[in-house]
Formats: sequence, C-alpha cells, structure tokens
Amino acid sequence: MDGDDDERLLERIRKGDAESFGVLYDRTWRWLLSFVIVPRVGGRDAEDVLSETYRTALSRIGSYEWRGVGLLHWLSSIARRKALERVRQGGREDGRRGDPPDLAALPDGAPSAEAEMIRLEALRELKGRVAATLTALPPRYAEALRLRLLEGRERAECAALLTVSPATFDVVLHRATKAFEKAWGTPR
Amino acid sequence: MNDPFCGDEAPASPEERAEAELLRDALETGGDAGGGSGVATARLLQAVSETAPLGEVAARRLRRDLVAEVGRRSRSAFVWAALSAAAAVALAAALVFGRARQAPAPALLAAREAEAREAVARAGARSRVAQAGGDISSITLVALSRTRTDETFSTLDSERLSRRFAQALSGAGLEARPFEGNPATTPTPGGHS
Repeated sequence: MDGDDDERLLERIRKGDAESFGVLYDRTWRWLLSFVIVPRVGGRDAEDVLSETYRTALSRIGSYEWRGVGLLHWLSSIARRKALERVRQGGREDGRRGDPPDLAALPDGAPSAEAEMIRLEALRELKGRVAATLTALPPRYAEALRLRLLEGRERAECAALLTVSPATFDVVLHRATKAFEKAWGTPR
Repeated sequence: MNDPFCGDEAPASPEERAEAELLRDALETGGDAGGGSGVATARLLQAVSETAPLGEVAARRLRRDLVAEVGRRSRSAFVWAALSAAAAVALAAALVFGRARQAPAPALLAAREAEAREAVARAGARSRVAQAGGDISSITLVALSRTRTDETFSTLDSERLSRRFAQALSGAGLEARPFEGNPATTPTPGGHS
C-alpha cells in the first residue's frame, strides 16, 4: 500500500463514487477522534466535530490539490480547525494554553490505509505509559482518574464509589490530574 | 456524606475549589472551561480510554449519512451536466437552422425580383387608367396595388441583405445551409412567403 492509493481513492470520490468516501471514512475516523478531536474538545462534542470535519472535506474535495502527502493529513488539519472553532464558539478557550498538539504524529506521506495500524500502535504505547504513570500515583488519585476519565463514569457515581460528596470528588479529581501531570513528566 | 480525606489530602483552599469546579465544568460541558492543564490531562486520558466517545452505532450512522450525501451530490452533478448538454445542443440547432432560414436561394431571389417588376408595371398601368377615369374604386385598387408592391420590394431588400450576410459568414468559414422544408426556399405566387 503506498501514497498512490490515496490519490486513486481521491479520484474515485471526485467521480462521484460514494462508497469510496465511505472507505476514506472507515480508514480515518478513529484516528481523527482519538488523536485530534478528543484531546481538544473532549468526548461530549466529539461526534459533532467529527461530522463537521467530513462534511467540510466533502464540500472541498473538488478543489483539493493532491500533493502526495496523504488524505489523513488533510483531514487532520480540517478536524483541528473544527475542534478549535467549537471551543471558541462556547467561549471555553483557555487563553493560557494554545492549541494542544495531536496525541500522535502521523509520518509524512503515510497513506490513509495505514492510519488504523499506526493508531493502534500509538495507542498501545500511550496506554502503557498512562498505566505506568497511574501506578506511580496515590491509589485514591489513580482510582478517581480511572473511574471518571478512563471508564467514563458519571461524576455522582464516581463520588459514591469513593464514598465522598460530589464536590469533594471534584477536588480529588483536580488534585489527581495535577499529580498525573507531574508524574507524566514531559509537558504535553 | 463523610469525606474521608486522608494522608496528604488536606482540605481544599478556595482557589483549589474554584479550579476543581472549572475542571468539573470542562468535563460536563466540553471544551476547556479555562481549566488549564488539568483539562489537558483529562483529555489525554479520555482519548486513550476504552470507552470511545463515538460508539460503533453512531459511527456507522454517520458513515451512512455521508455516503448518501456523496450520492446526492453526484446525482445533482449528473443532472446538471445532462441539462447543460441538452441546452448546448438546442442552442447549436437554433443557430444552424436559424441562419439557414435567413438565406434564401439565389434562384428564388431572381424569380421574386422578376415578379416584383411585373407588379410595378401593372400598378403603373392601373395608375394611368385611374387618373384618366377618376372613379373612386379604381383609385383604391391602385393604392392597394402600390402597397403590395412596396411590401414585395421590402421583402426582397430584406432577403438580399440576409443573403449577403450568409455570404459573409461563408467567407469566414461558417457555411449557411438551406433548410429542407423552409418556406423561404419554396417560390410562392406573388412573391410572398
């Protein structure tokens, strides 16, 4: 599989082959979600931003100029812009923090067909590092992070499992994120 | 509920409670909420989480919608292309046949010119008779005859002009072809088509 595959896919989409656009979606949506959109907007708005990304790509694909870089790079740039727009629309942007980097870098020229393979490898490494970092934290902090962020449980449920009030759980979680950041080491 | 803070979990300062609420809002409503780096850490953990923010069902629904949209766009483009092609054909046909209609055959022009000359001669003779006789019906007949003669000449002038235009087009490599069934190519009595 090489970069020409993306070029052929692009040609078929431009000729109106709807299923080819579906193939492009299949190859790329997990990457965009995991490494570009969720790090910027979180899980709540992720679906909307992903949808806006592909609809924008669809409206511009006729004028997209193929430069051999790969369609995932192009889609990632659209997704980054859409995610930042979403943050700004809600007036929720933190002025102290600029646009965060993607969680993983895609090698130049990597075709979209390889995106999922690269994503799984990058995700495996990240998960390993997260697990190692969690073991270095006080167990209560690690548990708060695991319940609320890794397992995605509701705030009230997490508070109940830790036998604290929701307001106290907020403080525990805040301290846990600070402790995680310190243990993680290099700034993200 | 009792809050069993233990070890280094000291009671929170007002500033720390405020930051904790910002982080809570960021997780509840999305975005950064001014939560600073605590939010970045939260996003990192959410991104590597096993619980994907977009389930497989939602992902398939979005895929189906997108593929349908590409199909709609493709069909619209096809219809536009077909309409444009039809319009181009209609325009070309109108140009070709319209031009042919404006270019009568030279033989027809000569025949009409001869008829017109005869009509002029007849009108002149009637005029002389009417002036000699002076009755009102003869004068009216002469006036009608002259009007018809003027119309004939007018038509001839127009056709001659058209023919010159067609010759000019021919010289420019745009040949005007006679149109089969065109009334202008069929001689008619009295020189009128």
